[in-house]
Amino acid sequence: MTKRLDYNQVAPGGAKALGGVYGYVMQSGLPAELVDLVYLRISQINNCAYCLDMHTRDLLKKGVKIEKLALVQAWEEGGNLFSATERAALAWAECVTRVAETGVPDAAYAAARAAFEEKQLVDLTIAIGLMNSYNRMAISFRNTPQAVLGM
Amino acid sequence: MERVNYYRASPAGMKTIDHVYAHVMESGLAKTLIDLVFLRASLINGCAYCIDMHSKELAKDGVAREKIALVPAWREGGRLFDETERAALAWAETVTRVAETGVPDGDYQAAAGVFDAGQLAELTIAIGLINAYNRLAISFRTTPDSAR
Repeated sequence: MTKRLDYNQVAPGGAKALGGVYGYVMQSGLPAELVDLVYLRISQINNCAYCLDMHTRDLLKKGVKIEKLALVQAWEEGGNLFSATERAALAWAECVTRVAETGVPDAAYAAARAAFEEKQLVDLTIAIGLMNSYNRMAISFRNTPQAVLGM
Repeated sequence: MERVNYYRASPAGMKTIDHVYAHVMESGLAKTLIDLVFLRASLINGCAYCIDMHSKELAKDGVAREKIALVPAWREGGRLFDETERAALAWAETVTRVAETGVPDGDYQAAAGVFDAGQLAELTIAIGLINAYNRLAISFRTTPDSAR
């Protein structure tokens, strides 16, 4: 797998604008670990190697145990490893990422709103949209995962 | 019925998203091409608000309604769609459906045969952006302007 192009180099303005959204999400008040869990789950759905590598590392750095990380893909069966807030965020992330199939039905929205205030849910949805954008960039241009670079 | 007005609920967050939009519009890509791609992605994702908006934008750009009607079936649209538009629409489809396609080498080569690296990066930022907007508008049931 070879990198196709470096978008940071050929489109620095666009990459910077995306970075602005990323920066917003990080200081939005959503817990950083929750955001990373959501980023990881979306990257699993979209199959983004670069992003899986990055967000797994970020979660490990935050002290999340490998046993929990291994179950992110099957969180619904993960018992007390995942809190009610994490479950609500992961369910919403899955539903919104798979929007073409789900249409984000009323029940999914009601469940998410029961766990998050309006602003939190909008910020979470901005984060989900952002990771869907980053996944598309990294997959389209075959960004090399850090692990492949031996780092 | 609208669930949340996300511009009111998170103005600072939406400002950063709109900043990406402003960048895309100033990227040097033709506005009609961007609107075609925005419409195609919105059709795949089923976003009423965005379909309504970008159909109207294309009409404002001077695109005939006969052409707008064929955007979902552009491959059969003959000379209505030029080579650049066909390349952009094919790329928008494969990138939007990334979980199914994985954006294979053949798709990348076809796109890179028409767009230079900078244009293709900007186009892909535009596709990612509309995928984010579609997710916001569908998740929060933004009312299409035509339905107001």
